Amino acid sequence: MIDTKKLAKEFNNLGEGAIVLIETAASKILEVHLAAVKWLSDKKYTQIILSTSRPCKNLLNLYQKNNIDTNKIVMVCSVCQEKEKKEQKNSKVIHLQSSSSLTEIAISLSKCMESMKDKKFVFIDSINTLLIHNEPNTLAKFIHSILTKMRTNNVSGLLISLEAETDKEVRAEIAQLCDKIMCDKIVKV
Amino acid sequence: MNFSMKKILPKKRMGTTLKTAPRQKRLAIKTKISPKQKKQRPPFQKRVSFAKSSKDTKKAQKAEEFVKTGIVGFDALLDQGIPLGTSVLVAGGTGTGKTIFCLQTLFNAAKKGEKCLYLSFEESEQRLKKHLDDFKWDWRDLEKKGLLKIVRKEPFSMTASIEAMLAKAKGELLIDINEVLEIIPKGFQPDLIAVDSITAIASAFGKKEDGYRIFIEQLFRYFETLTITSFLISETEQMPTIYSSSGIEEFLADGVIVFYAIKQGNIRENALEVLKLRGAKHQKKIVAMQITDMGIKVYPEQEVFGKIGE
Repeated sequence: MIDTKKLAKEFNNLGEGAIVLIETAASKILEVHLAAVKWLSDKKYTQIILSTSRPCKNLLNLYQKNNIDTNKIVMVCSVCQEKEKKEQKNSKVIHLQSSSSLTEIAISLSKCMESMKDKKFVFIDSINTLLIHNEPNTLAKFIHSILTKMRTNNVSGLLISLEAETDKEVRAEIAQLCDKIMCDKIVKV
Repeated sequence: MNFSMKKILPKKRMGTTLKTAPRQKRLAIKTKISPKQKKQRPPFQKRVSFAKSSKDTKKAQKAEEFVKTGIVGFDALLDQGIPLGTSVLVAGGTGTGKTIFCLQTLFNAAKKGEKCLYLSFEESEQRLKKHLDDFKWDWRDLEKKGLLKIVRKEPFSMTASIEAMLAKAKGELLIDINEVLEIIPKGFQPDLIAVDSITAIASAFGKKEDGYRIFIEQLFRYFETLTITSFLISETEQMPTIYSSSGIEEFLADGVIVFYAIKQGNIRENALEVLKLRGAKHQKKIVAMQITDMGIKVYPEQEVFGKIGE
């Protein structure tokens, strides 16, 4: 179990537009994900969630089971590669062809950031799954580009990665772009 | 004029001679224009004649001197647009969006009242029209109004005519290519033309590379003389370093737009760049592009993450 109260407290201390990297154990990553989305939902943030680990349908079911309001959630899903027109028309889910298509992901995230007027939060889950599909340097370039856009648009952000599993160089590059790095219980920086 | 062809049009990759030669000298290779064609005014001159004073003329001239593609995001790469009457090489690998780019540009221009001709040496008219339908671009009304024409030419039958034409010219190079090849349909005076593709023409020439080089030089000059803004499609590798069959087309063209399909993991991402465009300011970067249900969409601010070259 993760200390959700502590996590919420840490989130409460974040300023508008802050970007956070959470490093967690593989066994706790879903729990951290749900706790973060729950907190953001309670705070009435419009969440743009990049789902590269689980299919969007699965995540949306989990949100509902955990009493998370999904009305203000937009999923950018690169997992299920859904091609059905019905799904494409659903404005709450944007299906992408692959977790390798970083340019397409960047375009979709940018569109979401620019089109939504409410206070927004971009949630990237996870760095490690993106690393399965992309070269470390390419991914670092992508993260840099996205975080720059987030800062330009004053959008807050949350990135999840596995503790001690992430490529050291990429981890260092991404960490220096974030305002805060958290582990399950301890704030590292 | 007794130009030695080898001096003017050197063999493969010797296009640097052309590149470095003064433009005036290059233009010395004149295309013969028939009296009928002379009457076919350059479209820009016709338009500015409505201006009242010389000041107005200049103003109108400036506004009308550029062509907009109407493609979302693409025109933002250019300061004012594509200079009227220039020839643009549209280069890229298979499936990168060259044909769609040209169809979309011509369709958008035709909607604004420009006369456009799509000259295909590969796909049939029916297939190209189906492409237009797929994007829900209603070409029928434009065709009826005589604003958009799609014509298919057989490259191999054309080659014979070109060879005869060249034999007749014997180095004089005073050639009326339209008379021989009927590139532009009789009675049709296009403002914009797309040639799809010059690679198909080059293939039809086979090993007769000199013949192709002479022809392509003439073709560029011919469009230039008639002030037609032309888009010449060139098939290349997916990540090209040479943008045409003989390597000289990119020097002859006023502009080069390169389309890329960049391999990234198990997929390819589309991108494009304006490599050069004489007489126009443009952004010099490779930007993301998507082929959507509504045609090409360019993202001038979006970099691409795949590896481009070494």
